Amino acid sequence: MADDTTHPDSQGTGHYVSPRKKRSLPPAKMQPPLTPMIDVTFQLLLFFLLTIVFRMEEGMIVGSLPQKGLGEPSVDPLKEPITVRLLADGEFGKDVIFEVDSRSMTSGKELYEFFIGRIEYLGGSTESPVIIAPQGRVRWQWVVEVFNQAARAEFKEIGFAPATG
Amino acid sequence: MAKKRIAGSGDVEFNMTPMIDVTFQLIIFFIIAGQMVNDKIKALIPPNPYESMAVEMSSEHTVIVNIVSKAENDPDARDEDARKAEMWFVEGQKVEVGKTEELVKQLLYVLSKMSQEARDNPIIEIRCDHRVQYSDVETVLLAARDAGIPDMRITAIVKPPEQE
Repeated sequence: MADDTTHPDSQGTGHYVSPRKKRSLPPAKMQPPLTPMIDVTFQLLLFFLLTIVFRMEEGMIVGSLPQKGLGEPSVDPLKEPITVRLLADGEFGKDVIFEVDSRSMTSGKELYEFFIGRIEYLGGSTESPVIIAPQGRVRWQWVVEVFNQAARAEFKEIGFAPATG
Repeated sequence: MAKKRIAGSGDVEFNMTPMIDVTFQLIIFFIIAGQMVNDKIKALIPPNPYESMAVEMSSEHTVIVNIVSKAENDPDARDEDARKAEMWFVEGQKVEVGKTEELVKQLLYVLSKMSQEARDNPIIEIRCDHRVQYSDVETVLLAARDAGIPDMRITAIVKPPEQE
């Protein structure tokens, strides 16, 4: 048999080898073909590298909704509400102006400081309801910003007013 | 003249084993660490408020409503499209923006599928793209109220550790 009398060289070309010499030669190395596996592995790696999106750590801010049929949120007349108006600002309304009474603010930090000042003015009371009154075109980011700062200042009642024009 | 003996040219091979090991480790890392987007949770960036009060909670007994921006495929878009909601997703079910009655029906349907315990005190989770305008979210809040859901949770980014 021709196959029994050939022996591959380093380039893989078969050459005639006499049976006696063949016996003295070391056995041919057996190796599974790794190239396709490496190819596929790299394809997979590349796919994951290009498609992966790491989600930022998400949490939840707790709130409550008004009960059905009650209409507007009830406001205790003895507790003067703090109404925060949100006005869309900048190109495509990407920025915001927070307005409380006649004071305007542009950041959550300023708003929080305002809330703390108001709580001090009220003798440490956090009973006043905070009403978030955004324009319809204000981004959700800013509505949540107000909700977050009010919750951070430990106000107990935080509600949403219908969107204004 | 003495003949200089040239060393035989032996087979030179890369040692592939460590490389394959490392590559497989990387693939396993990406599979495990990569967040698989499922039907209930859409790929979007929620708001990231200053000194966020958001805390991690279990999503048990909650009806998750995803509000996706029209520019959902371009997280950097800040234009008019980004401001508008493309679709509401109630537990993965699409509801067209503006079809409030359908939204209420869908919420009621999801509630009807919940266990009695969950149905007694359901919670709505508003998971909204941070760029979407309030008027498109307000409708969802009103629909939730109409469906008799008393509690709400707003999804936001948890305060990063470096702010602490």
